[in-house]
Amino acid sequence: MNPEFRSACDGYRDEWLQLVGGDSTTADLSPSASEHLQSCAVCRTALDESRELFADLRRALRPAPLDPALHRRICDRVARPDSDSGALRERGPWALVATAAAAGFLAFLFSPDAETASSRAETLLASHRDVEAIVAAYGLLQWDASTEYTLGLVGSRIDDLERAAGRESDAPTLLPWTTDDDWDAPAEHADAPAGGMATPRRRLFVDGGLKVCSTCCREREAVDGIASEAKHPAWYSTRILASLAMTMCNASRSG
Amino acid sequence: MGDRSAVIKPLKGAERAALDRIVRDAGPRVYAYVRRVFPNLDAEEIVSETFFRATRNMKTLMMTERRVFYLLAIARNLCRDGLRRRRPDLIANTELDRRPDEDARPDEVLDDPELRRSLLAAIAQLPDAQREIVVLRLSSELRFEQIAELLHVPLGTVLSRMHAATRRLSIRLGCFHEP
Repeated sequence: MNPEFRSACDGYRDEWLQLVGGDSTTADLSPSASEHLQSCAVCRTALDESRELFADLRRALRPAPLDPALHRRICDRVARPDSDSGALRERGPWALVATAAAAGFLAFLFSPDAETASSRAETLLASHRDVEAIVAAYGLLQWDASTEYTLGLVGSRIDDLERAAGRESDAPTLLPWTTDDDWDAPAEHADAPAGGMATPRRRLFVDGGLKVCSTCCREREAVDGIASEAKHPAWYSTRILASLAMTMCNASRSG
Repeated sequence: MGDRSAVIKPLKGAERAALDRIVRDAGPRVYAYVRRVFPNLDAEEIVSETFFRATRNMKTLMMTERRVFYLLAIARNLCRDGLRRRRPDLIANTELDRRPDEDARPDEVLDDPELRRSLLAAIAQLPDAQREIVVLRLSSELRFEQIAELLHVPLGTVLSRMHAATRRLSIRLGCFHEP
């Protein structure tokens, strides 16, 4: 850093940066920044040199046109939806099984006629966080999360809810979270506890799902919107079941 | 396992033409981003998968003015996912997959090849978080506000990282002034 660069100039560094980056023009500068720029030769020199540096960086980083082979590969990839790598795997038969299990459970949970379900709903409504997590998982399912994360999140929550409601969960027999059912990361099989459920793997799914949830703005907005509806169980259950029906419809079309 | 191709509607003629145009316009920026920021990943596979996922919502892709942002968000999620889970299909398998900077295409090259090499070497040595912002601003041409939105960090954090990156680059390249 230039020793002549005065600390008073630091107060304007964000404005200079946006100016040099092209996000703003001199007309957008604050009055004090404009005044400072006119009176400070050091900042003017720094700006000029930074403009040169940014211009060189831009030219060095300028993206080249795609190689024609890559262009073709992308177009082929889009036209080849049955690839075994990537997204399509997300809507495999497990998605159907998982949505059916979740739909059945939620329908049972919020059924107004079932006495046990009613009492269970009261128990569960005490913890909206758990319910919201399920909603969040379906928010992910409809956007851009991998199935493993979604299923892990849903499965884990259903498991927890059913345990809280006082009975053993059927979910482990329905959802793909044992090592035998894990088709995607064989290297991690060794981490699973012997002879039992792959709890670390499931934990990984859940953590992964939550990370995806927290790092994708659009889905987070969607999830937030839906989660707020969870405060109204009837509307929430209608909404989630409609969502599940659409997912099942898509999955059954693929079958 | 049944035929799952029905889940994704095949693109119609107009959509196919639009896709071709979008790949030509936005593809280079997405590819450059992946290649510069996630050099250990298979950039071609990531970009292909990115477009595949984006075309699941082809109407949005065609209509949105934030197309590059949308594609970069998908690519970034894929890259992070690939690194976290060490997906073999996304990791660059051999050294050959990691296209060295020296092999850059002709129109990527500055007039002064030595300067370009120095610049790229300096960028490559930046901390990941700073390098990502430099690439997003100067290669992907996202505005700082958009970068903040993409990375889910405050604008001040983006500017601070860019400032730090600029300082490092200036020192490394022998410039001593900074904005």
